[in-house]
Amino acid sequence: MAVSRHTRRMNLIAHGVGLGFALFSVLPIVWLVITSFKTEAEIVTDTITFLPQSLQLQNYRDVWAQSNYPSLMWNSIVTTFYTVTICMVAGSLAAYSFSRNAFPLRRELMLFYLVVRMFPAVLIIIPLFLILRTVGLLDTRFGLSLAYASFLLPLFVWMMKGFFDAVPPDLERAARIDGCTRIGAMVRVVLPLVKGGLGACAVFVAIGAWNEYLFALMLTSSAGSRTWPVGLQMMVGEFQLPWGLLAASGVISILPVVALFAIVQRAMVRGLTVGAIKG
Amino acid sequence: MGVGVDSGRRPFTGGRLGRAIGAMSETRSWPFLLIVPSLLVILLVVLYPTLHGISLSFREMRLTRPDLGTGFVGLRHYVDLWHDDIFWRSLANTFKWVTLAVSLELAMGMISALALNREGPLMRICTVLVLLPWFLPNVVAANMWALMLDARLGVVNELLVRMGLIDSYVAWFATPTSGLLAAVFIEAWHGYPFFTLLILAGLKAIPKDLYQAASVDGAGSYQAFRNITLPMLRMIVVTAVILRVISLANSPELLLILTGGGPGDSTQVISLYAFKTAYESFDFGYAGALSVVTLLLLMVFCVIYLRVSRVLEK
Amino acid sequence: MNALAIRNIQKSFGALKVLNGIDLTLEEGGFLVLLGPSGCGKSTLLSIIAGLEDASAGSIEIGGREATGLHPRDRDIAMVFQSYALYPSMQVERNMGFGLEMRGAGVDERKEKVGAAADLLGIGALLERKPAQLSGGQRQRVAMGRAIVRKPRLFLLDEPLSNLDAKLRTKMRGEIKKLHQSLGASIVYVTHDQVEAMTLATKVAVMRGGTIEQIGAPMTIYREPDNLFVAGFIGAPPMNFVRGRIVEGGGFAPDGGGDRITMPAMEHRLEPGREIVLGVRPENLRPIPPGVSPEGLLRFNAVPDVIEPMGADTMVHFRVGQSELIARLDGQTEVSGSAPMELGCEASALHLFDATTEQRLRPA
Repeated sequence: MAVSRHTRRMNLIAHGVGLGFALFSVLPIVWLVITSFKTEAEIVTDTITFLPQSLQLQNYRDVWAQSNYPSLMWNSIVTTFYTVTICMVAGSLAAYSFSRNAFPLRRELMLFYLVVRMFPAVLIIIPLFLILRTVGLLDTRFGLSLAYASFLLPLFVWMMKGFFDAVPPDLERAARIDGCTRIGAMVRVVLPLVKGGLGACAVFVAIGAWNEYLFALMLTSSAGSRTWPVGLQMMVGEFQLPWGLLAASGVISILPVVALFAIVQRAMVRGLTVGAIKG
Repeated sequence: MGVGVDSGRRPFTGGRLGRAIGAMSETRSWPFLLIVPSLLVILLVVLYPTLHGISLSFREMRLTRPDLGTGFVGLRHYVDLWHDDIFWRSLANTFKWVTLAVSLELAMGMISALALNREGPLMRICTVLVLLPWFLPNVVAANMWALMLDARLGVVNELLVRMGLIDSYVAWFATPTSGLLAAVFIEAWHGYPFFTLLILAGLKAIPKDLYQAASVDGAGSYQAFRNITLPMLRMIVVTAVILRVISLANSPELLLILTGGGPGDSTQVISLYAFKTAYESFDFGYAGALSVVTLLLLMVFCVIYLRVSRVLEK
Repeated sequence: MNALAIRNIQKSFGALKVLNGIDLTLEEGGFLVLLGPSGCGKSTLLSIIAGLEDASAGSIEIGGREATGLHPRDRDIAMVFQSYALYPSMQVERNMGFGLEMRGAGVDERKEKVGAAADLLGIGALLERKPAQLSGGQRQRVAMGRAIVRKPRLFLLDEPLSNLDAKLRTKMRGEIKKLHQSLGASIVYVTHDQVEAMTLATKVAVMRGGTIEQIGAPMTIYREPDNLFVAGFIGAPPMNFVRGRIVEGGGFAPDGGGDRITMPAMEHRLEPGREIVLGVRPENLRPIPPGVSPEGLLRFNAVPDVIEPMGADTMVHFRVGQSELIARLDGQTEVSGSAPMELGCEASALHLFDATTEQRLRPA
């Protein structure tokens, strides 16, 4: 009986600890949301109130109407779209090839795709700045998305390879007997089976591109291509901080991330762990 | 021989382009053709820039001083670096920053994963919530915490005062030590879910009958943890630590937004110093040298770390 | 005309030779079984016939038409995989009709042909289901159905029964035999199970290490195995082997001591000192009543180690020299504990092999 009581107590402690970590992770975000509904006077006060007196939507209205936030978001959307497209097309093909074929140098190439993550961002940013300037893609959304591919594409390939590996190769052999070409077998038979994984990898890449700050800071400079993280940071002035506005724009910006993560979290968690464990 | 099923009908492949790609997919070089697009992108935006960056570190390249030209200067940047106090300080800070943050994240990730590794809807929901910070952008995480730790408006100060842990509000980012610790704390909040995620996956992969066998043999939960869980997790922990160290050492994002290196250079790490040298002074040659040093240190770290963890295994 | 003719097929992966020059023919309507242990190259050979892999050298003709280098689609074949390889995202009906679809057949034609095949296999009620909703046996039928829908020249079956449990396997084995007879199809069938080979084949090719050891009708291979490997691979329980040498006076001395055995008169020329392997199938041994000494029998003095009554048969394990032997006796035979008994085998059922070359010794 002692064992079962011990186990039950351990279980209780575990639930407590788990819940504690969940709160620790979420409460700061909750505070951000609360702040976004407060008036400036409520935020900048000597006596902190935990809940807003009333739900103030003024911050959101201001962000939307009186700043260039909508255009920042639009730039981010376009850049993210380009990045996801590059990764989906180039990355899926490469991942499929790595998963299915044993060709010379395959191991070395895959290792290379992994090692590139070791290169410091700054070491890549500087030459990229020069290259993009030379080819006229500096300060463009497409140029920025190419830069994002430098760290997101290798990740995408590794994650996606895990999903392709789970599809039995006999399916493509059967499809070839049934009359498909190799690419036909991939498109008609394999892709429908990795839809979930493809979606998860795409979301992962999308979040990475959506959130990125450093490359965007260096490689964009005009309102026509600046993304929201850079724009948000520019709101942080030297002295008086517009906390309410910052909070509201923060909430708006992480909303799509949280929503996408909630939708595909299961498949994404699987893909991430497979990619990371094998790497 | 008209018995065949084909009887002259062409296989359905969809359009002329489709047929062309289909025919291409039947050639021997197909596996390579599939890789070409991604390889082109990576060569273009990773390998070439990296090599270019390394070569820049041996050349003069200041966008603000075109009069200096872009000539070869040999090891001058590296010699300058040797005499640069800020470099040595940021090297020490990088070491502190990475060690503190990774140890804290590993500990938090391990504890949370062990706790969350149970059945039931409550723990499943908690797992999703625990992972959330990792997907939050640095810009939001940093500013959110800046507000919460604010010396005048911060809710953290308020809570600590109410709990009686501190007497009055503390300006966390005013002194070097508390500034670094506060930054490490925020980084840990942001990054520990990565460890939780991987360790949790590792825990789920351990066969349950190992524990049953151990408990039949009379092992307590601590012994089971030491003799089963830890050895089974070793590969994952080693991998996770390497990946995390690389990304912490390479990416100055959080510190750039949070402290900009202050107070008094206490959070000035090499990657941040390099970025500011490039972004604010446009001295690409010197920034390149700083980055090359980072890369070399990381490679040395990886080799030593892998060797040590392999020795420990035996 | 031959349904299949392959000449000198070779395959190597780098330095590793998987197939060393295979020659085979299969007549129209025949059932060829490629039999061998795993790693003998039989599945690789099937993949090469299908066009899923390229041979390093050699040529293939299917239905009298040169097929070397052709795409699998153009070879007029169908294949059933060990894993069934049903497309998980498609319903059974689309799975079965996919080959027709890829060849541009219309909806009506597909419906009609899939329906006919489904009726033949008794899976008409499953057409709307996804593969995940089927049992193992049903999946096997769908895989068969997908192959017969197109009425190809040649069927290729890669261990189609090995994922089924023993009972279902026996049942499906019978159905495949029936299908072969009713369709009059030509079939190449890969397996490592000699029972499947014996029961299904009109022709068996026993393979080992990328070479065909023997090819012929199942009963021919059973009665006259060309070498030790084939002799040991066909038949269950396997053939008994006793190593030893011929001694003066026509006797046989088993290695490792034991009683000298008197050889019956045989047409072989066996000079004294020659090292041979004696092969006796368990089912060819029968007890000799005490006091009788019939002519023309090879006789063993056996002390039973283990006796396994199985109902119809009784297995008796005994030793001769270093070798362990099994006799498969009629279930009615009285066998008791450790009482010595005499077991005999007709000279005509005796197999002799050269001990070094392991080849069958033929009468001079």
